[in-house]
Amino acid sequence: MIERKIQILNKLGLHARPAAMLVSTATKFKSDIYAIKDNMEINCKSIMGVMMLAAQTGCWITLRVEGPDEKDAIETISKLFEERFGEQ
Amino acid sequence: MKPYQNFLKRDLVNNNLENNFSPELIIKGIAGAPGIAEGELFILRRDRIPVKREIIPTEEIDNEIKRFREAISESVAEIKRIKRNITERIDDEAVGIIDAQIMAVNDEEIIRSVEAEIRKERLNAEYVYDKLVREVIDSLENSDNDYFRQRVYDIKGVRSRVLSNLMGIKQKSIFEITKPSIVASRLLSAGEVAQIAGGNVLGLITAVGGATSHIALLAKSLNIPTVLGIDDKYHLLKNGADIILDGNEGKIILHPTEETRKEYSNRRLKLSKEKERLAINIEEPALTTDGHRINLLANIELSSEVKKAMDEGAEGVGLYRSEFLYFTFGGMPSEEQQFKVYSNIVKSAAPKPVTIRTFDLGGDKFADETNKPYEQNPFLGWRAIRISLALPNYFKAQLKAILRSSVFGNVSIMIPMVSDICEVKQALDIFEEVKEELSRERIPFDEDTKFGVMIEVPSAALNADPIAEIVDFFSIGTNDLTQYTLAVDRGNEVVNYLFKSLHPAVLRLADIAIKSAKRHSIPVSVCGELAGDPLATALLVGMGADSLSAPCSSLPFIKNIIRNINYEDAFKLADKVLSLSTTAEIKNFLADYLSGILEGLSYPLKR
Repeated sequence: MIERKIQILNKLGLHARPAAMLVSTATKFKSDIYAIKDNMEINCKSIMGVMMLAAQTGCWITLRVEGPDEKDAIETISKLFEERFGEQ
Repeated sequence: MKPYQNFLKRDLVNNNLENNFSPELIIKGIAGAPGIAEGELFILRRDRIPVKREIIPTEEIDNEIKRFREAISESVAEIKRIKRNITERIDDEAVGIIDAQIMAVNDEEIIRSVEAEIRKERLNAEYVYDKLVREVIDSLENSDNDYFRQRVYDIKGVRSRVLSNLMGIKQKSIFEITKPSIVASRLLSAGEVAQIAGGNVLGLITAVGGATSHIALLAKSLNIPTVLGIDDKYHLLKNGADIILDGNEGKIILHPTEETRKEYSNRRLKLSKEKERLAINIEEPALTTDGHRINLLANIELSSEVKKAMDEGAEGVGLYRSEFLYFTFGGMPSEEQQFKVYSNIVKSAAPKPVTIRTFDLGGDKFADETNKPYEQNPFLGWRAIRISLALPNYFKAQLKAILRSSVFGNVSIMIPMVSDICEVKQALDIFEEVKEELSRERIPFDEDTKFGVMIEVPSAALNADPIAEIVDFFSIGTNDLTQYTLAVDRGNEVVNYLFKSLHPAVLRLADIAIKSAKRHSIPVSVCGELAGDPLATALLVGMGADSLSAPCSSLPFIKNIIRNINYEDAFKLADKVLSLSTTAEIKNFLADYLSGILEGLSYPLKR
């Protein structure tokens, strides 16, 4: 299991488009991928879950990845956040 | 036409509705998509599907889960079918809205939790699914963020679809509409609006939603006349009632009298006759009788509108409102996404020119910027170029996308809501920076791409001279110029009777800006609603506008006027109008002039 704290850098937070990107990326991996914020833990493969997180810019979330391709998964997803979901 | 809507009868709501006699009733809402529809009302009820809690016998658990999976697959298949049916008819920008619905039905976490709970609690699938999705809805409804609250509608749509499939209920759905009807619903999910495209739907009414909502966007893209946001008047609608829906003025007329019906059918008849008569002009230039040429351009919001505009004889796109992309993408679109849309527009207009206005967000058009501070006066606040300059990365991405599309045709860039020359200088610096970056990356673009500004704030008009020195063109936005000059919020029902674009003060500011442009030999256009008002055409030509940019549907009428006036006369007319002191005088004077030159043309004088 890998855990990593990550900050939401894109200006708009996890709104529709970034949320959809996160879900479709997470779904490509076999590992379980969770995001934790405040007292909420959601499955990153669930669009409804990601929306419930209502994560806005600047806030920190913890990614928790567990499974056969966890290394690859955490790197790919961290990159998605770092690159601000293509919002520059 | 909007500035005049307040001259029309105001709401005639009364309490006589329980009687058999149904008086004519005018309900005002928000214009969602243009056009007029007449027919019977079909009320689409989204009654909450009653969900019972049942205990499932242990031996039936596997079957229950199987039944649930089938309902999910069927729901996904339904949405995919809808998507296939409408892809041809819909703009690229809107397809993403449908994809998000599929993702929500197919939500892995929800499906897994439902199955686990069916097994563990031995409860029926409907009950478990409804309970889990309600948790999502509740949490979004409690959000302090407008954007998340709006998503509730779409998720409720997903829930009813899955529940209907589970329970084998056919909700009164669009498909049941057997004869052409005007459909009303308290709210509509994006999936339902898309579904409507395949149905017998003449027009659409909803209680919620605004002019920039997904519903408006889809309806416009599908050419369905739509009125939104009738809000607390929604309960007055009755199934089967006769109704006229006026998507141009954003109102509906319940139980129209014979007289109103006649008025509308006459109007329609005259309009289509007039259009037919004017069709011969489509290929002709907008030339005055003494040979002065005006460029007639179109205002658009969607890429599909380029073709419509050209069909109406537009000589280009004078205003593409790029902020609509922000709403279709549910957030800031990436450079690539923008590039794709801009290229489409530029290619389909080429070789005719396209002017892209950078994001005019804020004011009443800012759905979901989480960091947007609370503003007491949003129209005087963080808006348009102010946002672009505060978020330079987004601004750069947009300028890059526009510049990259410039190789496919003829593009200009226009900055909205400039109030100070410093903003123009700052924007120009960024523009140069972006050009350098592109050159460095060896990405081709048109070096001659023009850079202009909207003149829509009085300070910009009054200080137009130095601004004209550093930009390539002006475009006068009469709507905002009116709002900022007269200190009237047109969205405010209490004061919007004061909103008059033909006010002497507004015209004098426009005159200052036009004269500055002339002094510096840069072209000047007018692109607010006034540009599409036939009453104002001769005046704007006489004041010196080089081009007029208006909604597609008004272009043939405007062109006809231009082709019937003399530039010398228009010039004198403008001089006279600028000496008048009230809006009423100005309107009367213009109406007299117009009826003098256009005998028998009813359209401009329908008021």
